[in-house]
Amino acid sequence: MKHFYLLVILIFSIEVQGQKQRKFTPLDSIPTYGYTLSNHWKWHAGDNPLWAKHDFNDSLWEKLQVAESIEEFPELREAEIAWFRRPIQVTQNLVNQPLSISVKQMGASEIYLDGNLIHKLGVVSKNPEREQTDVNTTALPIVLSDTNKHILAVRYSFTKENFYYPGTNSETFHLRIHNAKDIGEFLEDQTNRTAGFYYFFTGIFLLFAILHFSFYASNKTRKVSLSLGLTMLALTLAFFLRSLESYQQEISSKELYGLLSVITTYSGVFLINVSLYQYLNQKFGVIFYIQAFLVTGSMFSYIFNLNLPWSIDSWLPFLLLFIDFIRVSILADRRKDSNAKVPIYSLLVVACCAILAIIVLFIEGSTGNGTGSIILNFGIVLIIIMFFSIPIGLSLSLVREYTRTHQALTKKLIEVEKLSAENLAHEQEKQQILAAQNEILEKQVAERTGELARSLEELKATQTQLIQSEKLASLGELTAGIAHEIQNPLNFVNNFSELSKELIEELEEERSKDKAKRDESLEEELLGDIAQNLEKINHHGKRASSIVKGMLEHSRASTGKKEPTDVNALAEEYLRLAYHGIRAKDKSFNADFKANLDASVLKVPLITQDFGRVLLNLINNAFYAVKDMQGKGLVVVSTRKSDNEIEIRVSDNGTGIPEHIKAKIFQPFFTTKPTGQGTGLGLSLAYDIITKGHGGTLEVETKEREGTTFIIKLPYL
Amino acid sequence: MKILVVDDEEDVRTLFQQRFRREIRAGEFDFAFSGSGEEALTYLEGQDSEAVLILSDINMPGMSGLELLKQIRTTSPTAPPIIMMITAYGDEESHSQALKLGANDFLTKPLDFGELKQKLISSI
Repeated sequence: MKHFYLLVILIFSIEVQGQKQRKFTPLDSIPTYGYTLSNHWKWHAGDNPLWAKHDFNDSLWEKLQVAESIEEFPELREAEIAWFRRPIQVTQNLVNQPLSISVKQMGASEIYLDGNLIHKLGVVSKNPEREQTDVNTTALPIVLSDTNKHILAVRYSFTKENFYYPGTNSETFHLRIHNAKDIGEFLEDQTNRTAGFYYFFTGIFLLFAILHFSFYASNKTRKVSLSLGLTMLALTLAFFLRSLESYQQEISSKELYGLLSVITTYSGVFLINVSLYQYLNQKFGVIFYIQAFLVTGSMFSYIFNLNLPWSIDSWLPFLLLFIDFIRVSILADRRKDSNAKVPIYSLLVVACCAILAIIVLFIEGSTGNGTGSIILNFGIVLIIIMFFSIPIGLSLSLVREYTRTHQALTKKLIEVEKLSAENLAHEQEKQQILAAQNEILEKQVAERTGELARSLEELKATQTQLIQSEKLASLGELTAGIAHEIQNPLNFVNNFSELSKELIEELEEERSKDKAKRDESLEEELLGDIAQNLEKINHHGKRASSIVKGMLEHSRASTGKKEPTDVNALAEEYLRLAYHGIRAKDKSFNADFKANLDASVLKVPLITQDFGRVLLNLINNAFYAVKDMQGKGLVVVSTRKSDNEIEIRVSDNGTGIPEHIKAKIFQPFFTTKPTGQGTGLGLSLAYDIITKGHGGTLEVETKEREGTTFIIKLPYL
Repeated sequence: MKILVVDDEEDVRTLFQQRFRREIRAGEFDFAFSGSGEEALTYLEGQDSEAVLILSDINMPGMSGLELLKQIRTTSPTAPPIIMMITAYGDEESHSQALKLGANDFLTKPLDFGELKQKLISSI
């Protein structure tokens, strides 16, 4: 940017220097782009209306070069108000021709021709409150009616209240004279060059800024997008502020915008460097910080107008920046960074543009046909292209990179899709393998389950057999008892039937006698006896059949059906059966037994065979416990009814159960009997039958050498 | 002649009474009945050995027939002189034990009442 200004100034200075040597001559012709009245000015500090007069002698006044910054004119700055005077003369060619003057200035001025006020630009005053600066370039008409020397006097004020920065290149007072017909074109060209370019570049950089910020918003990891965005934003601001500057009327605001534009321009330039570093993944090293320092220094030097030897502040940092660009690019190239070439290409563009611009401007300078030429505009565009080729190049390459990334991503996406397809196929294969393995496993499990089921079946069968053998064992114990028990009623049946036969014979014998001899009472007695006997036969027959029935029931598998059962009868029957069973096996065995039955115990729903087996088992155990007591043993079966349950106790006064065995008696296969004499299932089955089959409880109370009582409690509904 | 029949079966009384009804009517035999060994002993004490013949079942709850035999023979060895044991199980062991304890005879159920009558008559 600075180069742009420098070069623009250079163009003017070439022109100005071309005029410097000339002696005061009347204006004969004016070029289309106007003629600057830069020489032959004299000035004096202070304010005196007489100084406007034609005949005032200004020979003692100092000479003046007005087209410079106020910074270069400290005397005027000190004076705050002053007058400038210059002779003006035209040849016959221009007499009475409509001429026009354009003024560029920093302060306020009144323009007098031969003592007559012809124009006012702003309000001239030494009082800052009254003074109104007017920096707009305006076209002011002027006509010279003869070829005589006239005096152009300017009353000029620039109070210290006005703001400007020392490095500003605003001219204190620049007066150009034009043919009136040309002034419009001149001003238009100027506007084109300022507003046109400024808006054009404001727009361009704003677009780039938005682009890079968008990139950054979509991918926060790419810091280069952020710094390029900031770069573009800074440059946008720089141009926009320049544009604003050109619309200001007041010097202070114009200068403020100018200063801000300078700062943003430098910031932009510096940010280009930052972006480059980031773009090429170069670390911010010592060189970078030196650059930063130099660029900042250059900016301050520019703003404060420090005139360093050979103006190194204006070119060295930038030269170093360019060199550093090249250095960083080469370093990146060595690292095989694909982006390394981009800055070099940009630099090539820079170089080409610079050469072209110099050639163009040299041509322009030497032909000297003014500020409005196409060549000059072309030169300025070249300079701008040169200057911004780097950030724009970076931007474009970033865009290219995004495109590349996008293409790479697309390629990757296709690869990923291919891979995932392969993966899917792989997965499916795996699943098939898994499914196959699963099938094998299931088959194996099924086989094992089958084996287990078979084992279980075998176990169940074994268990059934065991239960059956337990039943048979207890049945065996009973057999002898049952034989005896059946024998007895059968004997009665036989005896009573035989007797009845005899009694009938006797009765017939008695009847065959004569009526007188017949003993009627004997006949009655015999008949009564026969009837009684038949009853006895019937009773004992039933008794035998009930025993046989009981035996069958005992050996039969349980139906599991509950039937109303007379618990008392069952208890008594099994008590007797058990006793005789044991007696039958062991002739020496003797013990007493007793049934204490509660008559209020009515029929209870029971699985009769199962419950009978429990009773038999408990009673057998009780007799077993008293077998060595030589008849002193006593087994008592008692029933009792309470509110909601029936209690059946099987007690003995035998050996009792030792404490360490007590815990095990309900376990299956536990027995204290010698091998082969007990299955060890009796109490375990009894326990299951009472608790699971009947919802009751089976408990044991025992004391060693004093006896044992098994207590069955059944819920009574 | 007083004969004591000891058996836990109650119907034995009826059976004997009918079987020997003629003899009872004729006053040849006089039967007394006890339901258990203990009852028999009490009866014997009360009757002061009136009974001259005892017919006892062996298999009874509480005091068995053999126990009764032993008691009678040990506590009062003099009277009554004739004790006949009856059992449903005609096993040798019971037989020999009964004889050893001083039983005069050993009968097996079912009883042959004709034989029993002869034995009773011959015994008296």
